[in-house]
Amino acid sequence: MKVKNTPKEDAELFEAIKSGRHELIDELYVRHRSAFLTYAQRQLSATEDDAADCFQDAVIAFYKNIVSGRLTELTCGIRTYLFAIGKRMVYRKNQQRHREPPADPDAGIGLGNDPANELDMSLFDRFEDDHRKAMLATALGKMGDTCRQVLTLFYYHRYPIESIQNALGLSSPGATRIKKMRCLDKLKQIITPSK
Amino acid sequence: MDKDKRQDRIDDHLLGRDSREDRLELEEELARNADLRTELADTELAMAAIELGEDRALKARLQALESKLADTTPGTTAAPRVEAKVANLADRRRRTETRVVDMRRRRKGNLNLLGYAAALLLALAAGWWAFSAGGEINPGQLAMESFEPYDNIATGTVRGNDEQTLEAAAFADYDAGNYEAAAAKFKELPESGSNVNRFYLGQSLLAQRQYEEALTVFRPLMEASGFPLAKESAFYHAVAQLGSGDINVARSSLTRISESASHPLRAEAKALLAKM
Repeated sequence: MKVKNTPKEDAELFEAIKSGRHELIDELYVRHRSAFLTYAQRQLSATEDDAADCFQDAVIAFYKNIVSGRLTELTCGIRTYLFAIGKRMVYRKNQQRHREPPADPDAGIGLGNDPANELDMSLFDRFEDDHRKAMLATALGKMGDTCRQVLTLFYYHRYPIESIQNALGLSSPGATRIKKMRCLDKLKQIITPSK
Repeated sequence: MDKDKRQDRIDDHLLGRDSREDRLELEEELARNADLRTELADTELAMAAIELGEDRALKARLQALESKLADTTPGTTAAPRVEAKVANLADRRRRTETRVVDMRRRRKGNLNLLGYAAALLLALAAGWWAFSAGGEINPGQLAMESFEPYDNIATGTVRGNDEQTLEAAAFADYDAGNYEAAAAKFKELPESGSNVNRFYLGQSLLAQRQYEEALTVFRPLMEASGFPLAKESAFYHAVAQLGSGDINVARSSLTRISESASHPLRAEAKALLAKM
């Protein structure tokens, strides 16, 4: 069995995620989690649970920015990106809880150079209507396992058809393309049954 | 433009993979074509469902990881210990994955002798069969030996969907190995229906050894522009040629396939040629 190495350096880890190794999200989380939790509790008045929750969202947002092609190269360390996103999420959560918004400890330092400015934060804000959100989120769970995997790998993790074929052991790129088309049709039917 | 190509364009657009020219062209077309607008909106909604579903899955994964880490060390100040624990867990997992499996044979007593006797009988039977067949090729038999109905990649399981269309019923019969019923249902579907359905009609016919009819189904499919299973259709067309007794034509079709490095059924073509 071929064992894939875990990249040590930021640039190497970034490239590995960009090339499709989405399992490395866990590595990102473990590597920077405790530092963020300490920072968020001490500097941003976050509870431990809120800090962890925000950091999870930060890791997912960072990943989505990589695979969507919005973040094509690192202009600073991965930790700096994750902290910048996580910090914004903590602010938002504090506001939602009507806590006293803490002063930004970094205010005025490197103003305009916040790496989170490069990123698309709307990826997390897109669905505000909770009912609709719940309906859409459960739709994928109604699909068969292979369909769910094909659609997720193609549309979310942005795998090319050939990589999906290899990952799922499908017979050819043509067969994978058809599988994807049919699964997408099924998902559309689940979301809008009248069609 | 067929449905597949239109969907590819929409996907490229929504995933940001299209060029500036393609984007402008699509936007102009969207302004004119209401159907295209609907398809784009439906795909956007499906993508939203995928995004939300997978966001939740990733979140659940990280939450599970967090509870493991939090269980290991209460509080955040013991971070190095947490990371050490994770490293230990990873090491242990690696050791488990690379564990050496004991391959020593177990004693099976008389079972071995029975096995040798069965193998000898089989070898004798095969020798007798080869001798009595006189080495001649039976094309129909060879075609059937090499044929395995193509996996149903066209329909996925949809949980809680009780309504069954004729198409779904055809695929259900196909999955159950009831090829006669499947072929009858595929034939009832509109002729202008998808090439995918025609492909599975061809499969159902081959499975019933109806080679001549299978030839007429696969011929247009192997030439259909943009059809993702066109190459596969060419292989099954060759199998139908063989089954119908056209050995030389089948041989040259299979040779072409076996010489095409990118053909998905190249290995199958080579294996079949070797048997001929």
